[in-house]
Amino acid sequence: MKRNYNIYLNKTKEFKTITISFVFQRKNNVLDELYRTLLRKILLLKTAKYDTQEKLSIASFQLYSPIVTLKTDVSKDYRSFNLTGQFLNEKYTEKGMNKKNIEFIMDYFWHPFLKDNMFDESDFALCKKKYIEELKSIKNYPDEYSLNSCWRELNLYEFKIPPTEEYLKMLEKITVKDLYNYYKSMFTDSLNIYITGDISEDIPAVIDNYIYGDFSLGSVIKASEYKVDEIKKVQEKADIPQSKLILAYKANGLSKFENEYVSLIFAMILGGGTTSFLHEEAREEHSLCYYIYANYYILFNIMLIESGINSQNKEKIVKIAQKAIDKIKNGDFTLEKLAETKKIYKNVLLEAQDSPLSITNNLIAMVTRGADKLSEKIAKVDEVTKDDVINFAKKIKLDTIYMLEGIR
Amino acid sequence: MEKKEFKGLNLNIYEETLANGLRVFICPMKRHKIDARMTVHFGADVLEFMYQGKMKKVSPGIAHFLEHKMFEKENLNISELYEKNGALGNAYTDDHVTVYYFESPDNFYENLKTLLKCVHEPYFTSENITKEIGIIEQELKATLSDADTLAYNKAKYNSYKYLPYKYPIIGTEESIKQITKDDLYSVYNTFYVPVNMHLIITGNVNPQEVIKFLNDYYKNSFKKAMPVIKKYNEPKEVVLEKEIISQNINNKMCCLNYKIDLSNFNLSPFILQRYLNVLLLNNFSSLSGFTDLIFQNKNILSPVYWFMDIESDFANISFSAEVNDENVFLDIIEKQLQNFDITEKKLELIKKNWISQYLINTEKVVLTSEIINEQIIKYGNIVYDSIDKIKSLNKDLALEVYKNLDFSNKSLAIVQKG
Repeated sequence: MKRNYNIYLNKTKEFKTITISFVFQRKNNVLDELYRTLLRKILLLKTAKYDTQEKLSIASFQLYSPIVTLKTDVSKDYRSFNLTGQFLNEKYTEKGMNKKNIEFIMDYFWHPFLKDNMFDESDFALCKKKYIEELKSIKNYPDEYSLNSCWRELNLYEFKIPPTEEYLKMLEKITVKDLYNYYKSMFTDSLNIYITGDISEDIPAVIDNYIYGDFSLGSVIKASEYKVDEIKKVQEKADIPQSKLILAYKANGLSKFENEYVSLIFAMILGGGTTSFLHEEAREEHSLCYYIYANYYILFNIMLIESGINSQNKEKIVKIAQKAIDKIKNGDFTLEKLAETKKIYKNVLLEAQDSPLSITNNLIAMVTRGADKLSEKIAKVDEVTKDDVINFAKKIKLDTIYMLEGIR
Repeated sequence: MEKKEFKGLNLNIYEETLANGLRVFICPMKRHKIDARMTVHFGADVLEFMYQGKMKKVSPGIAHFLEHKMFEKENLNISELYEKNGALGNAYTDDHVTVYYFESPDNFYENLKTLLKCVHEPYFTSENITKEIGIIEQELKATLSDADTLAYNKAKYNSYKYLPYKYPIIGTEESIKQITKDDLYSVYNTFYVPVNMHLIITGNVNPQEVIKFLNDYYKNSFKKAMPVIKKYNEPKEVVLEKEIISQNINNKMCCLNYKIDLSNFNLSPFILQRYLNVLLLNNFSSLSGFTDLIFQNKNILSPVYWFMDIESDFANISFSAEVNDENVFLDIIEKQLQNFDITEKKLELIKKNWISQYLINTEKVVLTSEIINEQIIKYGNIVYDSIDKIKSLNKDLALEVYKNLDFSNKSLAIVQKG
């Protein structure tokens, strides 16, 4: 049959479970985050068949407790909405359970609870209220708050992320009709479906028979390019005992190999573990923090160094970070260190093959951004040289210094 | 070595007790990752113990402090050794135990040696202790920044009079500064003895080879005495029923902590804890409409999270949420606790769910290790017939257990603007 979506199968007898992911993708715009968060809340509440959480929960337990999640992922231009379900293969439960589980998972999106062809007004109002409270109370969670604030300052998208107060105003204006229209519009998004497990022949047919929509086939996400002129410094205050410092770096002109492999080796040497340069100097040498680490975000080609510190030590950490990056730029690290880092990374990739969710996520990355197969990735990591890491260090530039200053 | 079957889960576990008293549990699984974890039966809930013939008292937070210091040796760092071999090694401390572990797909014996070195070769100096205080202070500050942690710590602290369980695992700013080199050696020498530890290995390993390796490693190690810990006569009542903490936050964060005496129950710990969980799942999950109730309540601004732990003869059950009005929250929880009625059908569903979770989780190396470890810590042994025991739970006994629970001792902590 001709489908307007793709189904990617990863057949393996290694697992007791089957993992299935429906990934909707579209161009990113400023309101997507609000709509998709609201949608996630309302779709997970109930379905057409089960109109309370109690009934939904009972149905789930009857199906041997499938795990259903809805999450959004974002790149510079695209935003995806992933409906993922993991359930026990019927070989371990009872015949007919695979079909029932797939339909149960799909019902969250394809057969939501509606009243007069619309989401339920009171459910919507409550979901909106709870979401508003979440946004208002985000300062209760300083790690999350500082990360969001720094992210906003980085201008990673074609549009500007508004400050929380403005975001709240936008959220206030969204009506149940707006949300329902947004939901309906997702039936023309691009859709890819990924399945991992001991998949029987009839499983794709179960999906084909249950699905509807005018979906399209997706496009591949490309790496971002940035302009970094001068370093932005942002400081906010909060009634907390510890300050949260984030140093954000952007990289330009990267090849796919640099963005997917060299970058991660670089970030690991810099701040990836307890023997990283940052950890050794900031924590072990100077006792300035409990944690300091560097994370690289492939979809945005940015790196964040995060640490919890006393506010007066901010400049010391900035200097330590610069010194550590310079050290790598100057090739001041051993081949042994590089080999150890590569080994850790390869082991992570090897271990990912033990997890149906990691295998599925890699399959998604292969389709949406042209990532390599897990087995090919291991060979590519081996190809990273010391010069590659040095060159990468030269391409990364400090963009923003963000601090949430603890004043308690 | 004894081979035992974890019934219904397609898992075999090899058990052996070495001459020095160390209990070893090996669960072969065909996966890339191998997980090894050494558990020391010493956590934050022990502050007084017999040492050199008399009772010794140490500061809150010492178990966690010791965990940090075990990674530092005279001329090397344990993390470096792990990373050289491509492994991820770490540790954590909770109220009851300290667990050291590594995960890696290769160099298994090298990594195992590192794990054993980590737990058996202490190196404490006054200088490296002072350095660690700064690091732990920052760790403590990070936990105090979160309103939910603050509320939970306070409610737990106000619930207990004597039990060291009342203190945060990490200790307090004052208590960690009081820890000395001698204190660390005293707890190390008392508790870090093989007879007070157990080792779990899950993954693609040969059990016979592992045991041979361990026997060689420990050939000069002999069995020492089990530690003697101070017992407390903890009252049933809480110390303080309500406390308000001021912090500049938007929504109020509440934690309601119940202290429930279990000393009169004559059931095995596994069965008793399952019945307590039946009560919590039946009354405080989506299964009973509780989630619908919370969702529709405008005074409760977040989901209600609950957590149960057992300490000495007490079940410690806490409920947390962001709220507009703490009285509404209190009222809802109290009402849910006042009524417990479960149908056979719901009990069967809960049992089915637990069995499904066991099946799903035991396809993963780390979760399998965690299941095994949790059972040894909580019940002293692996409950090989867990699934049969779950199937045997019945409605009448669930109601009987509920009737004998006393929910009158509770402490409420509120973090709010002010």
